[in-house]
Amino acid sequence: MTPDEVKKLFALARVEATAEELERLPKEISDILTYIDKLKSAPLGELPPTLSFAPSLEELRPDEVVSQDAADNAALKAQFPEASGDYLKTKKVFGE
Amino acid sequence: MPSQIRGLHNAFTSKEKSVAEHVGESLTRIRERDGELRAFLDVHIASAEREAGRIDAKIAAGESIGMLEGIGIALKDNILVKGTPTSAASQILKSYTASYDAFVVERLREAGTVIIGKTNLDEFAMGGSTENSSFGPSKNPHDTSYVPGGSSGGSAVAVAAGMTPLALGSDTGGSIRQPASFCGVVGFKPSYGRVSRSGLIAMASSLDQIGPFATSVEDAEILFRAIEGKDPLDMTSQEIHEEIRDKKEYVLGVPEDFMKDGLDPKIEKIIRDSFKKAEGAHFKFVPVSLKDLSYALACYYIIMPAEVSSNLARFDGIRYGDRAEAKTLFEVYGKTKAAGFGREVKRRIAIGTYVLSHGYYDAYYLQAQRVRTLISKAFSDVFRTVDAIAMPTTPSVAFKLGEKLSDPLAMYLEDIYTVPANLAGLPALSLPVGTSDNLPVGLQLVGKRFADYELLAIAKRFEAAIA
Repeated sequence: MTPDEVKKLFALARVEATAEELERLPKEISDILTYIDKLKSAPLGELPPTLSFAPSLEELRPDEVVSQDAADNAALKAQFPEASGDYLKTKKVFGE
Repeated sequence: MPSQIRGLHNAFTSKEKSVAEHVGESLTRIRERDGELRAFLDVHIASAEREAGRIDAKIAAGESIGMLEGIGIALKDNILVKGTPTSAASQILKSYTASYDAFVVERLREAGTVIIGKTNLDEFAMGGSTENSSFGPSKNPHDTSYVPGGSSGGSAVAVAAGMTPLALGSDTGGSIRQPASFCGVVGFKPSYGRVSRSGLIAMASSLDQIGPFATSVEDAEILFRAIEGKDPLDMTSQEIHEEIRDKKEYVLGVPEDFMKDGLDPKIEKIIRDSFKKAEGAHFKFVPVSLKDLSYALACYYIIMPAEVSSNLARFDGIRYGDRAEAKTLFEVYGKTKAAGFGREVKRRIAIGTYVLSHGYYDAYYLQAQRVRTLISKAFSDVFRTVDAIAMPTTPSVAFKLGEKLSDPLAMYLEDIYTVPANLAGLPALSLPVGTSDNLPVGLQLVGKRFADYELLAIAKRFEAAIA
């Protein structure tokens, strides 16, 4: 793993990487990947993957509108880092 | 250990002790010891005293109270309590206030427990020592130069240091059992699906489970009974009607092949001595082969970071938490996460992003999910002949603060005995069975899926046998 590859992974995860991280992480991540490579020798035969332990999808709760109390709405809105009147502010999604 | 909960309940109902006195003792203990031990991130003094007063008034009026009513409890700070700060020990959530109660908190309120406060953890529950907390580590009450384990270290310390009789933690790869073992208390991770995670800040959703810390198995069981069951807000949760039969003799499997590598001989001796004592109490120990469990840790370190990288994508500074100043949306994400996440969290996000990326998905993620099937199968094969599996909780006792910080892989290897139960969704419990160089040693019992009460019955008998 190279510093450039780490930089790319961070970019994919939308995290800005520092110079210190780009120097330290290639070796740390390589060591961990070397360790997890031992899975390649597991005697898997035709075993399928376990993708979920969830019970059957037939047990889903009804898809219906649940009324939200005004105080809860206000509490959720209060968590927003930036607001302007009734608007909750974010940066533009599309560039200028 | 005798049940602290029953003792307190009897004291409350016979008016030997008021709930206010019990809560006052907790708060005093925290004031005296927590400057050094740092078990708590936040103590809810006013609400705890108010609750105590309410229950005392109920007792004074001659009303009956439930077994958990008035009992103090500490909650890991990744469990939401409405209107109070919940940070998961991360800078990114340092100004976050929970807008609702977790399912388990609703249940605790119905049962009348008194929430004393929120406990320290490794940031977002990632770590085995609490050294990854962005608010500084907790210390082991048996020797403060040692770690208490993690990630639910603060909860283990709160119970071990007598600050609260009960605590809740969460366990993704051993985060309840390992700190319980390091601090000398009982820690129980229920079966996957037995306790709702609604209101638990998610780490790795196919592995996360909430469970109790206590000083006795009976107390852990009383707390588990209060929080288990189906919740429509967690689709993995299930209502299980478990038939409990107390057997005359329990057969425990000892995975001799899996236990061989890296186990401290002093721990091995303490564990085997506990087996000898238990043989007198109708336990039979048989060797079983679980060699495929040697793949469990590698499997875990693919699945867990993959789920971490996905779950933590939500902390982007847009809807809650701290937001960094920046010009564009992508810069907001990048700078918010860079400033808000600590070293271990970023490391796991990077690994998770790698194993899920195009071209590597089959080789890592899918392969790991197949190994997960292999591990579940190895357990089910063994459970045809035994009632539970007995092995150490950790390969060594608590380590010194700072000892493993610079070597992430060495820290990960601490989880070697605990991750298999998470991968297979099985209930598992750590029980204190002795000390090595004055530091506690835990025995781990792993049960059949959804046979949680049977596992607790086995643990109770084992606890009595070695007392």
